[in-house]
Amino acid sequence: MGESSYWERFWRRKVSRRRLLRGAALGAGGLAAAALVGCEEEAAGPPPPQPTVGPGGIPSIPSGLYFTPTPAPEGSRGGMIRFFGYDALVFDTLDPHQTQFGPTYNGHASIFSKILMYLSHDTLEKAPDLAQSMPEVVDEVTYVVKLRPGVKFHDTPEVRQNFPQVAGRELTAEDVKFSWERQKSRGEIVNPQKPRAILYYRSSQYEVIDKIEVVDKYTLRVTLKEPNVAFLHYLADSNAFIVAKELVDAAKDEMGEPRRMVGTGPFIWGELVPLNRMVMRRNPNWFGWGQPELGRPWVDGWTSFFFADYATHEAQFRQKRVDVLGSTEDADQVVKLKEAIPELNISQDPPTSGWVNSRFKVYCSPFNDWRVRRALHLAIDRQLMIQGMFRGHGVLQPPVGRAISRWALPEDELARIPGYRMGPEREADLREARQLYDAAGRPPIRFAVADIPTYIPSYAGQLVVQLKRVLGEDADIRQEPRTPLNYVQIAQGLLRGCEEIPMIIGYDNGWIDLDDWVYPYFHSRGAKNSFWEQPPGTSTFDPELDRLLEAQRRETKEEKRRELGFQIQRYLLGMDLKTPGKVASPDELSKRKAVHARLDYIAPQGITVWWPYLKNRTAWPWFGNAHWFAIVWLDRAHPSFQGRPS
Amino acid sequence: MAPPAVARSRPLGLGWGILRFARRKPLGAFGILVVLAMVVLSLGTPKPKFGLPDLPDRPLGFELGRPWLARYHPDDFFYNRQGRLAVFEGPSWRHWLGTDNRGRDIWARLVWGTRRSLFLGIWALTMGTVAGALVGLISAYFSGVFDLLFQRLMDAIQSFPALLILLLVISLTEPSLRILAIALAFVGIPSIQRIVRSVVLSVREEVYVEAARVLGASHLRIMFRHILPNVVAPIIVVFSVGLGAVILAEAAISFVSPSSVPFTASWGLMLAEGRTVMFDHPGMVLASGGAIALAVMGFNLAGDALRDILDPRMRLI
Amino acid sequence: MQAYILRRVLLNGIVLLLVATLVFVALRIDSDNVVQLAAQGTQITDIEEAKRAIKRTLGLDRPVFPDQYFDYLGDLLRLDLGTSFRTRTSVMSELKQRIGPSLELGLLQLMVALLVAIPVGVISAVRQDRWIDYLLRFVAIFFLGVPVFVLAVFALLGAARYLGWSPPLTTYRDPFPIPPFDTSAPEDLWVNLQIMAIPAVVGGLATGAIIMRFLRSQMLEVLRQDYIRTAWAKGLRERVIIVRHALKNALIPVITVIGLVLGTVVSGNVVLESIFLIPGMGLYAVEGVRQNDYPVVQAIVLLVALFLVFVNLVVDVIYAWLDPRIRYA
Repeated sequence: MGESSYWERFWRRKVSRRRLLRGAALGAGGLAAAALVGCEEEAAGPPPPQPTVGPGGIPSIPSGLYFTPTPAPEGSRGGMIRFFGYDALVFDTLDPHQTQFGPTYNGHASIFSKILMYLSHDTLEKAPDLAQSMPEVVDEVTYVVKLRPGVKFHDTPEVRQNFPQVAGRELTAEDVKFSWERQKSRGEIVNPQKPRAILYYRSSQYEVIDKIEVVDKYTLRVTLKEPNVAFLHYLADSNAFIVAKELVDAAKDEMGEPRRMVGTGPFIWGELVPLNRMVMRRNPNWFGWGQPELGRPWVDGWTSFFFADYATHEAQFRQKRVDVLGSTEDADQVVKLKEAIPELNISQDPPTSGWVNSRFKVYCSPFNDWRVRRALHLAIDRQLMIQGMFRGHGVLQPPVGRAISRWALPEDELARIPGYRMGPEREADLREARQLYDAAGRPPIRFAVADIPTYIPSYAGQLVVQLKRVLGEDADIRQEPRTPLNYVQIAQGLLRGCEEIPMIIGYDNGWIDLDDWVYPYFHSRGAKNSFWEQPPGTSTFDPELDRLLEAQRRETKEEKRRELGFQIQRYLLGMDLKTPGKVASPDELSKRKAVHARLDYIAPQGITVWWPYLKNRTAWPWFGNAHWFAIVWLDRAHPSFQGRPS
Repeated sequence: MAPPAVARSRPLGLGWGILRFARRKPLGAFGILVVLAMVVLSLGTPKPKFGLPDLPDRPLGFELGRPWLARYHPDDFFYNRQGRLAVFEGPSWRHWLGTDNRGRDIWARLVWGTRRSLFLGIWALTMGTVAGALVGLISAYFSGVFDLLFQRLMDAIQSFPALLILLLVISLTEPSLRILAIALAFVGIPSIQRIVRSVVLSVREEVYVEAARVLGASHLRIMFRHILPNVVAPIIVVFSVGLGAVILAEAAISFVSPSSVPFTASWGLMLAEGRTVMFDHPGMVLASGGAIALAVMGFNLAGDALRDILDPRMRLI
Repeated sequence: MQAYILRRVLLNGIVLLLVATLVFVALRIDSDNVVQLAAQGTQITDIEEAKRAIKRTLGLDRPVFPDQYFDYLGDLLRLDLGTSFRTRTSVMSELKQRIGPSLELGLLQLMVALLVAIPVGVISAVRQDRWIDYLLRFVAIFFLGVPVFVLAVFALLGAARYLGWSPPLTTYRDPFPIPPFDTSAPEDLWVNLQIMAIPAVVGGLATGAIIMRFLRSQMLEVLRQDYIRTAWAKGLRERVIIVRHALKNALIPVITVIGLVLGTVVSGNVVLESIFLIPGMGLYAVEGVRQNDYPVVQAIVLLVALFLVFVNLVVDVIYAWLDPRIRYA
């Protein structure tokens, strides 16, 4: 199926410039995670969704196996694809299990493999990566995972020199067991004296595992402590990489050095020049998802460059020094570029799964009073945030991200919920906010702010002004501390007492499965909850919510689980669970201990253009999909390929 | 030595004096105009709340209200007729210089930034001048080894470029305006003290000073009559050049590390936020860049001209 | 001459020691914030204990004098500039890679500055008070007032938008080497220069403005001297007088200005490197500030100050060598 002809046909339809620019809901998920979709088996299932068209007339490509990627012809193999990315900024660590920084574990996804992988962000369908086939569900707590034989670790002269025991050897069930246990024990099995425990931020996923039994070289039998339908998701999640034990530095409990980046994925570590670029090169011995004869990857490598501003990015794109250009704030510029160069392909990215949110320490005054939290929830102007932070290119975010389209609270329902709704009803919300704040005694409000992305700390002043307009000019609302904090400080601060960070506004990495969006944050035993002053105890904080959260973990029927997900979101947003569209009574709200414990605001949504010689590109709303570069290729026969620097 | 006396045929009125100055030194007049404009922009209604100076709202010990000419609060944002955030609007009656990337009034932010830059500069240089003068005096009076070592200390301080001092300070503490001012004061101390010291040293040798001492004149009197007049002109130059340097340093630090700046309306910050859309929406960069350029040039030119008038031997250009 | 050199070396040696001491004192005045921020980034949940651990790492738990001070000086002599909080590796090892680009940028700027300032300053002085003089002085004042980073951003974005040109992305000649490649491949000089072009030229022009003003005033002084008048009287050609007699003498004090101007070059490069993403010391300092990595910032400030002292020493010596009158001052 000629993908380029599809776009040409589509674009030739009348899409006037005015319609384009009026599209306020357009955005640019600008981080150019140009992941691509593989398709090795025809999926039985729902018919392929057509590419949707945003209000501005810009199409969005569906991800997943729903269009057959064109395989690269023999003459068009090779070359280096180049694009903009934040990979060259390593903010915390290169350790694949410990990094929280999306662009970093995006790069990891091309080096390391996981047991399973996602094929589509619309349907969340999974496929085997390292596994031979989808794991067998023996019963609700037992799974059997069978690995593909013949998966080899990278084998290069450097690897042979640094880690001779790993170079070229086969990946076995022992490696899987080690990787799982490492995350489950938060590093204690690596070095009991010095685990960097706080950084294993997905540990709550692995803590559901009770027993791992290595049956034979390629088979594992896993028993969970309790039924959990999200277990297969955990195996496909963004950080679910399988690493070799020898690669971890036991003394420091980390594998953060570039030389330790040895995996089984389609690409091999190239180089990292901080603040400039990250380069990966092709792995000629990749197991190719069971089809090595296809000869993937079809490119010789990929390079992600970091540019400090959009204009430089655009200039490099025009000169074909990078192949893709996407932006959130400057999405209008991207559209103008498409008008200037009609042959380009353009698409509206899905809203990113990562989002701007606030978290409260619900045990700290004044945020232990639900009225204060609700007042902030109602008062904070999310539309203003979209305009202020993303220049209009963003979406409202329910407690389960809009990016997970089938699981997020439906858009029409969200648009009627107080706090999110606009128009004349918003006035009522603002009045209620003022009343609640007054009733709570007009307490002083101190919030801390994350340091990246930079649009967050620079919005703080505007936020204060906006809140004071609603809650009164004399309301004591301030950012404190004045310096923005990095994410490790935030994670640490959230564990400590009330003097530090009672409220934080920051950017949170996106999640995929419903469970990750809500369980760690809102369950009494969730690893990220901010309910307790000490690590979570065994007593229950909000029993009603706990019941819902546990129920969704056990519900095997997808439709019912979706409904449970909606109920959870409604609960968190203060809506009545029995009567749709009705706000819960103040009585009921005061009983809901966890209501508004996290305020969800907005997520960016960008627009991307790319040169037509780049084939098989699609967009993912979350990081960790660089393995899909394995099916990208450069069409040398295409006229636009002329003039591209080699 | 006292400035040379000028013979006049008739007493000059102030107005004529100014016009003559403007004609003789057009660049200098321009510079002084710029300085005056900055001062006027920074003025606000004094509120009777006395206390320790707290930049920038209480630089003189009493609190200054909103600058008269600012029109709005610097963080105040606006909506356009369609109810959307008024981003990147052009100049209009409501917004003299248009709006910026967050719908805030550029002119308002420029004026608030003027007050901050001006007061930061004046505070830093005043502290530096007073400290420098004291240091120079002491160093000159206690000559010998103490003087030698002290001068080396001044050399050491002078080896730190202003921007690096600021970087060090903002990584050490949460920077408030007062701390920035103190850090920048360091920039001025070595040059000021060198001037004062050299004048003191030369004056000390003068015979008439010895005579005055013999006659019982106090040190203070000697200082005022002999040292001060010689020191004024070069200090004015250092002060004016220093003001320009402080403004540039503050702009650079806001540009490079926007999150470390303790306020939101700063010229450097406007530059940093506006630079990515420079060509499509030049308002922010033109306003802030123009303001910085005008201020630095103005201070330099004014300082040059004043120095020329007070002591032509020091001409540099 | 030797006595002069010895004196300068001794005096500047004291200055070096004082520079190091000033930086030492800076942290000890109020180390609370640094310790707090660093402690917040550790794994230890008890903040007091985390602070104690950080203080132990920084050596702050021992008596300031003599323990801390002499340890600090000893470390300096061994070129141990501390350990980065973030990467937990030695700052010096990272600095070794970063010094190259910064030096290169500084030298290029200086070259541009001299290439521009010398002819411009001479012309402006020789044709004093004519229109060309006013024009050139105006341009010089423009470059003094407008911040160098504004001009640089203007040039970068202008080139990107209107000329469609952007600096190359890598320093390899074949900008995108096909793997498997040797990542220590030799870098291409022409590509490297292209990356440095805009910051070098813009920074050079700004520095050149300062040098030009000084040179002009020196030339004016020299041109009034008697020996120049003699040269005119002897009927020598203008070019010979200017270059062979006047310029040579006028340039000597300019050398001292170069020493002073290096401070602004370094300051300016902190900003320029962060705009053009040149992986030098300035960018490293900015990263250090942004990531609350105090040892990095301290190390760079210290190094730069020490370097400036050293440069001034060299300038003093050269100046004395060129102008013998100085030696006996």
